[in-house]
Amino acid sequence: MTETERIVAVRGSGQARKAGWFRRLSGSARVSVIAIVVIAVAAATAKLWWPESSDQTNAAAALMTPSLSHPMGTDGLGRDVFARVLEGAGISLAAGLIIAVAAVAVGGALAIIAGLRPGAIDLVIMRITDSLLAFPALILAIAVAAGLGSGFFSACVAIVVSTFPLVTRVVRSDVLRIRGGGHIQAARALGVTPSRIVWRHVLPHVSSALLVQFALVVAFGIIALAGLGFIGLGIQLPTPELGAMILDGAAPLIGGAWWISIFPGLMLLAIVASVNVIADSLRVILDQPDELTGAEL
Amino acid sequence: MIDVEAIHGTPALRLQDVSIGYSHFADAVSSISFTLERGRRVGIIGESGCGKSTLGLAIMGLLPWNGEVRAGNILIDGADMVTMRERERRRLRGNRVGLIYQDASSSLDPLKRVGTQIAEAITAHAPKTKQINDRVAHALDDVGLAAANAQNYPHELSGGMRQRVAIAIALVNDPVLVIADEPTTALDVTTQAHVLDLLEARVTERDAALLLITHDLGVVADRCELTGVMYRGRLVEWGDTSRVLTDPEHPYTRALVECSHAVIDSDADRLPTMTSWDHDEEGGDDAL
Amino acid sequence: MISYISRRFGLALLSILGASIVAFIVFRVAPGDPARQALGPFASDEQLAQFRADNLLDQSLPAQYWAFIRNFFTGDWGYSYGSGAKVTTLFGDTLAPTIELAVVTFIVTVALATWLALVSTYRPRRWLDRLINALAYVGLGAPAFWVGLVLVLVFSQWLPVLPGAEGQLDFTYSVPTVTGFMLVDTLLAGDLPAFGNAITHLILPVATLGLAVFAYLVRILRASLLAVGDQQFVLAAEAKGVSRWTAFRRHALHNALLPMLTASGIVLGQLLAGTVLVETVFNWPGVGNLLTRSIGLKDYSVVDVFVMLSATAYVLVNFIVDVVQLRVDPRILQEEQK
Repeated sequence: MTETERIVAVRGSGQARKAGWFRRLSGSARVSVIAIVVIAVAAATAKLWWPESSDQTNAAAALMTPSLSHPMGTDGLGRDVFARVLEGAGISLAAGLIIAVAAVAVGGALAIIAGLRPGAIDLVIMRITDSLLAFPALILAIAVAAGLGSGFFSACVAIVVSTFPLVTRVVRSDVLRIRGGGHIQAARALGVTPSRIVWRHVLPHVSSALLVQFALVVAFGIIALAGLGFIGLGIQLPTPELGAMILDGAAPLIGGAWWISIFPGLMLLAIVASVNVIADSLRVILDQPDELTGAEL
Repeated sequence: MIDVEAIHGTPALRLQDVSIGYSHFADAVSSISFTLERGRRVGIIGESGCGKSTLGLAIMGLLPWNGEVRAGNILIDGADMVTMRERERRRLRGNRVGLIYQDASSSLDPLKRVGTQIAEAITAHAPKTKQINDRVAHALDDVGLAAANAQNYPHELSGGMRQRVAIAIALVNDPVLVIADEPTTALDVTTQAHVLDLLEARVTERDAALLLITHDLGVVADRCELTGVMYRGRLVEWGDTSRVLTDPEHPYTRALVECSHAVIDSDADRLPTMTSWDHDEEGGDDAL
Repeated sequence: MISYISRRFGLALLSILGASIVAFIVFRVAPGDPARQALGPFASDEQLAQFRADNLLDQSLPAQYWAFIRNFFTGDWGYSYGSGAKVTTLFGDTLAPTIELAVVTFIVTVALATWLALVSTYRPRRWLDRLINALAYVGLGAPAFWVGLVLVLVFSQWLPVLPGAEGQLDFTYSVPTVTGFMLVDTLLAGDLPAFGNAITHLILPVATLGLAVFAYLVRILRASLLAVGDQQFVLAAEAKGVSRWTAFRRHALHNALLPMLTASGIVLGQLLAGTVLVETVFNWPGVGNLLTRSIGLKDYSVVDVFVMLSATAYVLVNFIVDVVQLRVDPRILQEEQK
């Protein structure tokens, strides 16, 4: 083979590289991925294998301690907590993904536009980003959710608004760095269309940052959603959102019925901790230091 | 029998059959022995990975947590660094033996003023020193810097000036042994000469011993009357520099010398390479 | 130096201004009809009209915005929709307990995170590393309000050693309010048992609020220490005869503090958000509790002031952090000049 052929063969096709990603994660990250997949599948298929429903009230069976038929007990209205926790996990995971996709898409798009078109557009986008970053993220999410009212949609919008600015800031600095590299100018000089420039020359380089930010937004999104639920914003009961369930179980907890609040929280802990472990592993693999402090986590 | 010790006093440094290794790996340094008297200068030469830096660290007692001296004694001014307790080792470090690092920019704390860092070397051994500023000023003057430089941060000084500070720190407590690990690699040739001149002068003044670790044969040829050659953890050559360079005993040394001469002398078609010496000749014997 | 500081200050002001626009959009423009929101579904048309006139809702948007920021920055925060009390009074009453909780949490978490990070990095100790990492992941993954409930459950119910959801002090104690800071007030009143009691009441809330903050800080500090600890100047300090612990504490820590300093600014944001979630669990009479109640009552006059206050405090603290960094790391100015 010629040298060139050998290099191409060694690099491998895009397919082969994608298949290796699971192996490149740290041990605990691999466990986390499996855990999340198990939870997601369990939540999605719950109706198939778990006899209890998540919304069937039964006054006679209220506030029962955990047992074989109700491994996580029942709540104040007699609903099976295990079924509700599973469904809540599904809601959290789905919401987290949707929010992250939206935040990364919006944040990334703005960052690329701002980075590639200096001048007025960049300035406007940066001012907007800075203004949004003036708020602690959760507070902004609370504010927007309060303004928009309760519900799944307003919660998602609120959290996307509070997370995309950081994505923009992180990605924009990456884009600026690439611009300084020269091959974008070269592409422009050759007459390559702007969209092609973005796809072929910019996106591959910012994809590392985007991926890490994606994982971080999933983690934050799930916790924020629960926080909103706990304050009474976002998704409301009877929908089994995990944060709202914790709120619902707070009073019973004082009275001794601890399972209504504790189990939803454990599920949240399991999911979010797993996502964070994965995010950390991605950080290491993709060489992304902490965006706010510069520390190499 | 001439009593070497009676004439010269306790040697500054004596290594007896020293072996050093990391974790469970094979010896990084094996069975090295030599003696270095006060006032003498030796250059330890070797390629990267031969173990010379490990040797330097071990003499200071600063091996990383996964390294250890597996056998032998390291005697500094008669005291064995290997068997003594950490507390006692600390008393010798920076006091009886000083270390100068390759890249002074990274051996100086970027967030502290240079004068503070010199003072630290003093107070580590004499915490209640009065007039510490005077001593710091004196130390700076000794290496050709102004007393005002004590207020500078490392990044405000040039590379050569930073290296002088490192020398000042190593010498401030009048050690009997100075170890310099590639002290001029990061400097340009002119500064190199100045810094080495300074080092030589100050070391001679104090009648201290100098252990110069380097890969630069030229530096050793110029500055050190003794030469030691290390290869793969072993000391394959030791002796007077003039003898080692003109009549080396070990094939590795021969190849080294040939390579450095060849650059200037040879008009052959190909320059000699290190692979041109026969590894098999090494066998199991040491030069010493 | 001056130009750098004034430039940062200008940016800070711009951010606050921008934040006020965002707050205005969120609270005045988005929610639909504020009059209907405030007065409820049974208000008459005249009442609605009166409300609109009072609150300049019939004016143009820029005029409303101008009134909005003018009112905020002059302290004219209006009246609570729910209780009718002056918003300034509401905040005045509740700010001190929150600040007390936040400050104590900050001090405890910074001290603990620094100490643990140092101990686990200056000599490699894998078991300690694993433990701290695990604790950090729990801190990052467990919602603060849930942690509070767990702690109350364990330490106030199952093992009745600490007070639970009881606010700042047992109701059996009565201490005159001088500063609003319970620890200070009990001391000023010379009531030592009350002081001790106030401390026990702080333990669980601080642990709850602090867990997430601790997790964030210890990870950053550990990472920085590991990166710095490898550097030659730590070893060079040891070569002077300084002990490893001292070399680490004096040189590595100093250099690793920079990210920690930046993190402190972020931490304020986390603390602010945390108080909103945590104070209700402990019946803590602070701003977070006020906010949660106001949200439930749709009392936007309180909510928007809280949000603006948060943004202003967050921006200013981060500005101060920027300036302090100049003092800590003299190289920043050099970078700026390039």
